Amino acid sequence: MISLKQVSKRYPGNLEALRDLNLDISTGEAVLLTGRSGAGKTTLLKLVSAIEMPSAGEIMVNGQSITRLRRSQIPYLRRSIGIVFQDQKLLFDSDVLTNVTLPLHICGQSRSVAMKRARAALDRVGLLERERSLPVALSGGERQRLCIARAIVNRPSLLLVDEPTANLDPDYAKAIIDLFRSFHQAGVTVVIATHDIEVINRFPLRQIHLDQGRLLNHTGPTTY
Amino acid sequence: MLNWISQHWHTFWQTLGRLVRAPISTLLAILVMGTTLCLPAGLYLMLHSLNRLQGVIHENPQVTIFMKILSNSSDIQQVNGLLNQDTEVKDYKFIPKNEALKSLAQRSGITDLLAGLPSNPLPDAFVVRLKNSTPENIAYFKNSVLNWPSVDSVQYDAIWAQRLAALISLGRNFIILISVLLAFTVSVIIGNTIRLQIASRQAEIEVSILIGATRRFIRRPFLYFGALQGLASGLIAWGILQLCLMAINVKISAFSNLYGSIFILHSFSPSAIAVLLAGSSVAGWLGAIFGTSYAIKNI
Ligand SMILES: Nc1ncnc2c1ncn2[C@@H]1O[C@H](COP(=O)(O)OP(=O)(O)O)[C@@H](O)[C@H]1O
Ligand SMILES: [Mg+2]
Repeated sequence: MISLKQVSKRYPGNLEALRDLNLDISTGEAVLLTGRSGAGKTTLLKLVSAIEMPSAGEIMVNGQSITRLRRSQIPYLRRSIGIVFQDQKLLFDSDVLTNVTLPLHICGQSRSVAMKRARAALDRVGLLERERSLPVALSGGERQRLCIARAIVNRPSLLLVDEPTANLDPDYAKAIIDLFRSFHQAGVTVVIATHDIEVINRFPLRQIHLDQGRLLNHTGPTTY
Repeated sequence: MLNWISQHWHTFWQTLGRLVRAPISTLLAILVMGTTLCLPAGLYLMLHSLNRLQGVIHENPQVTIFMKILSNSSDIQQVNGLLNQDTEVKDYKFIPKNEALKSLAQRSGITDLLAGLPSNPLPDAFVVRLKNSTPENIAYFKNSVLNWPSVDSVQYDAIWAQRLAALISLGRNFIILISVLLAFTVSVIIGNTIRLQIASRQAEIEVSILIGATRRFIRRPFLYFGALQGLASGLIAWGILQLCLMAINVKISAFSNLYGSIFILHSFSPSAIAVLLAGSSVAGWLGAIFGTSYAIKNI
């Protein structure tokens, strides 16, 4: 599903966020992307979703080479990926339902289909009765679940999740981790970037551990 | 295909709703643009009316041939025969001097004075209408008639007609120029309102792009918005001018007994309305293209 070959990312200012990265994530796999803050986790997710371009190396996603993708094809790649952003990126002027129908409108779904599928996604994350609320009226955990609903509403085969449990109480965190587990069991490839020990402990998966932009260990399932 | 249409339809209604709920600044911009468009559209109306006036003159171009005072009936017969033979002449009417005097007396009310004259001071005259009444043709006809025997003078306001024609063609060029300039102004104003709108919805646009929106999708509602804004401006210009016309024509009709109906300002023809509305919409659309391509590039 995802393959990186000798990938480096240098941001303007000459800071090398990722250095000579090689890794593979197979279809249907769920992995944790770990490492302390500033290690390059978010950068890696941005490269996979073509939000940033690598400075060197080759990235394949779903059989497509990101580096050779034409600019006009990038939107279509992104539609096949569900992303939960670290900074949420919700529409704060729009209600919950509108936030979730947005990806469907973008894909050209009719209004009625969009409504139906958005409600199904909200039901999946347990937010159906909040569909008319504004995001500011939601609790931290509910807002995170809203982000997840928006990410899965297009039924993507790949889910990229950035720090899903940041600023959440452990109880909320558990519910969210269980959600990802269920998506994984349904066959979705899931990549979760986190530095939350709670997540790492509850989700015994292969870890991709980054340290200052380098891959440290590339091991199988570990338990802490 | 149906899906595509329903998408556009949806965007259209959304945009219309946004326009209706638009902030005062947008409505003011539309009003300003509508007033701006009144200038070329109003000039067009005046020109259009002048054009009709010119048409009226062209249809009834009367050339009056005055005979010498001392001409006799055989001279008149001769001119009559020449007019009869002239292929340029559509029709003509002879006005004997007695009749002219009678008509003058009736119109002026100075019967007594005229009756006191020793002889009729008015000449015999022919009123001629030509088949082809371009100014050149009339001038040519006039020159040839002046060579006929016993003809004293030929009267026709050829210079005035020529000036009118020149004025109309000058006015037409002027209107084209000013329409292009003001359409450009409308484009710039609309482009700028849209640039501001994009700035105020930057977060939404950013999110949409991150989750797979094409730039075309982002642009579409703004293009509709621009075209609708342009259309609204055109409608306002039309409305304002129509009101002005009604007011002016009420005044003019008070004089219509004196001048006839030819001086009435004519309102827009359906095709002129179509041009006005289509032109303002296109100007809005183009403005939106500039506004969006400038603003979305930076996101
Ligand atoms: N847009 C950017 N411009 C410059 N430097 C950046 C940018 N984004 C991230 N960085 C830097 O790259 C490094 C990795 O950042 P990031 O990928 O966000 O790490 P993580 O998500 O693991 O906390 C950090 O040192 C960060 O300061
Ligand atoms: Mg991060």
